[in-house]
Amino acid sequence: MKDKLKESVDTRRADFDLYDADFDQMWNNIEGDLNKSRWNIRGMAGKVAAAILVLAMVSWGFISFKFNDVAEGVALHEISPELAETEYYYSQQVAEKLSIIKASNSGVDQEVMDNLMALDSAYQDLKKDLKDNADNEEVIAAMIANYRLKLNILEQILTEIKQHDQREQNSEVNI
Amino acid sequence: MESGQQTIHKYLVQRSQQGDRQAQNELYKLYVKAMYNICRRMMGDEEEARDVLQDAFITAFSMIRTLKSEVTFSAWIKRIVVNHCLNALKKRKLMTVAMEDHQDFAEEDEEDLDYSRYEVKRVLEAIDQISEGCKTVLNLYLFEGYDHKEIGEILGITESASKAQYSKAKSKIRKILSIKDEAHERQA
Repeated sequence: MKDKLKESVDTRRADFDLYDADFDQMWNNIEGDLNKSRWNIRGMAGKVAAAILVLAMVSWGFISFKFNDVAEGVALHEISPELAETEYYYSQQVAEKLSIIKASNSGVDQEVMDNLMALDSAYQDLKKDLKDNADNEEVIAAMIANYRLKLNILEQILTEIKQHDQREQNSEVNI
Repeated sequence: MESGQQTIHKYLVQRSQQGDRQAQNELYKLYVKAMYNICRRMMGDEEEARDVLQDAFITAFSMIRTLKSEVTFSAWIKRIVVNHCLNALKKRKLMTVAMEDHQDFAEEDEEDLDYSRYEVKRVLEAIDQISEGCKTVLNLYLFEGYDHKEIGEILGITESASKAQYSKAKSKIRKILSIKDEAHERQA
């Protein structure tokens, strides 16, 4: 049997988009919400990075004050096989998490990346300290702490990205 | 879509994926009317339609980086909008109930109407008056281009139940339009 209703709609389909609304106002609401969720990620990541960076710089300042002879650096793996293993572990973890965050294209902005680079810079200074104090436990501990801090920042950013994505997925029905 | 429009469209999607809010706004302007009309027909209420539409676009632009191919944006946004409508309807919990009273409904052997003589507005008003379950099936089939098999998958019902719901919806619309005809004739 012919479906006259379907035929009638198909022949004038565009006419059925009859309803109208204040689309500009709706865009304002949408844009406001999109900006809010973007800043949630940036704000959280920025705050975590900034707080941890302060701690890192304080510990670095303390160590620099004690060992202020600046020269070529020494990496952890050059001290002992155990430290080489530790350094390898942390550097792998940091690289892996950084690549996930970059691939997610989640709006983690340059400010956060700059903070991470500042931690890298602090690490380079620690390496220099270590050259003249190769057996100094405080310097080694600070270098490991530096890796942990960086890892901590990255993990928190990842957690926030996952939660954000989860919230979005929860609002959908799978069809 | 013409090739020039396609290029602009592709560019807008790419820019939107990079977080360009202006490009997102341009895409929004291209699709908002059609998407709002989906929401309005399915929800049967202006305020709810607005809320659902806004949520759908927020989801879409938050997730646009996951969109694999630019050319599928129109299908992609429509799917998100339909999903949001279905979610909102499920929250109302009316659709499920309405779906249950269907199963063996066969199309009545009655004369079909010439719907083309009715103004679009009258047909839409009639659709607004039918129950949620019927309306959802009818909207997906009539306006959004899904067939009964797809509608069955979307709503978790059988293909024949979808057909039955559609027939029921059509019958109700026919009655509503006929009653209005009679009322008009009496007034004349």
